Amino acid sequence: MRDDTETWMRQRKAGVRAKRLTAALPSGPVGVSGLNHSAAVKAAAGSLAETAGAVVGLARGGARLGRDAAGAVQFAGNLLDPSHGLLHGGRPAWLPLAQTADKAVHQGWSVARHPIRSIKQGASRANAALNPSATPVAPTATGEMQRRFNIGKNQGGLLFDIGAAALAPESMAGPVLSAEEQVAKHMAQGMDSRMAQYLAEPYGGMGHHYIPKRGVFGVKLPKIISDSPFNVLKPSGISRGDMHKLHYEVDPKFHGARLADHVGQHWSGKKQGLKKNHPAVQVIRGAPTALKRTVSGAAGGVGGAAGAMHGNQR
Amino acid sequence: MTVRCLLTFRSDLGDDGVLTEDRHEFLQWPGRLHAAVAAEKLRALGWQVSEPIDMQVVGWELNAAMGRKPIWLRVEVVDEIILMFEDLKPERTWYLARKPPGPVFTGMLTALDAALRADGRFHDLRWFTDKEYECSAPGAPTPVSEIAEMAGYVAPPPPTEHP
Repeated sequence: MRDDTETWMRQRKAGVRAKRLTAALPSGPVGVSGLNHSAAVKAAAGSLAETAGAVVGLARGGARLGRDAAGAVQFAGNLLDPSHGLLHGGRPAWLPLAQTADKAVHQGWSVARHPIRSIKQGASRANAALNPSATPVAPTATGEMQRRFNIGKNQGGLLFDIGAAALAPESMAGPVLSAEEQVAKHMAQGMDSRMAQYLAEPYGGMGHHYIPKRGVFGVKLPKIISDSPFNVLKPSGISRGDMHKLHYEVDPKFHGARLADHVGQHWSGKKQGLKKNHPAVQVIRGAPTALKRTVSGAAGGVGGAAGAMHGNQR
Repeated sequence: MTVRCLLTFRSDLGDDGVLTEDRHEFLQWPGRLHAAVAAEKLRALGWQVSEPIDMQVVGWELNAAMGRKPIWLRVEVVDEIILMFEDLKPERTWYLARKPPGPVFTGMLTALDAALRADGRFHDLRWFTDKEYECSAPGAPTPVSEIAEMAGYVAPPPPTEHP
């Protein structure tokens, strides 16, 4: 029932848009008809509409980000508000989260049952959503403008998601501790206060190279890529001690380091009782933040654009 | 056959780390001297070896090659000296898993082990697989298992759990 209403609303909106676009064209029985079917006009108008759509897509991406952030704040507030259930007819604050999770599980199950079909469908939808050549040119200039406007909008949204993912400020995975808390943490691990203070200082080393400098499968990355934030894991603001621990856990070849301020002393992951992460976890946890954000942003953007286009086509 | 590519030892060469004036940072991280000695031993065995590469906190690295067989070495100085070796172009199965290293690589490990033992400046040489080192196994006296077993070494049981 809800789906039918949504479809009707979409069709109505598309109809109104098409009428507005037709009204914008010059009037006259012969001129309009000729221009509206001319390939050159269709190409030029479509190109303009695609650019306009990209601008709208970028703006919508920003608005969506703001809406999501506001929604997250409101959701967190609802969770913490004991009167929320009373004010909303007994509807618990966590219900939307449970509904979303339920939907995600159903979709995940569908993908898991037919992985190849799902990948093909996803790729086909993404292609149709983002590539003007993937779908046929509309018979009229107004139709072509509508088609290219939608594609531009999807491209703009994707561009925004990728940009936001790559440029978002980096944060550490865990809670950020103050210098005093860092020192206390290292002292609790059995270090003397001088070494604890040294390890609590900000890390300034080269970080962990995700694809090692020695290369993989006999292929080395160019230095400009190898030393870029997309290949080097070095969370901003991380302390020496935390970086050594992270490095030890995600790098199969890193075992410890000498400490400058304590000649003869060292930091050893094994002596700290740490364990290396499982290789599969190392692949995920050892990935630099910029790389993770870009991959997830691109995947989310393509998925979102495909979903939007899929919704428009239904 | 088990090939152990991680060597630990103690050394008389001393700490070659160079500190800043306030002794708070390294100007040169320790391990360069050991990397240079390893390079010298490998050259004596007929390998072409690069100059030591500074990897800062991680240690020092060497790239070496025998014909078309490239290998990689890293020297880490922690509580003892750690030397790690990797065959950079190993043979692989159809599903890309590494096949056991061939005779060029294992021959290099065995010959280097002998050269370091003969040097006199290096003591307590023990060979490990990555897993053996992590679970504090006692280590083997030689890098290749058949030779270690002939010398009376009994490999510890593999670790039963992994976090």
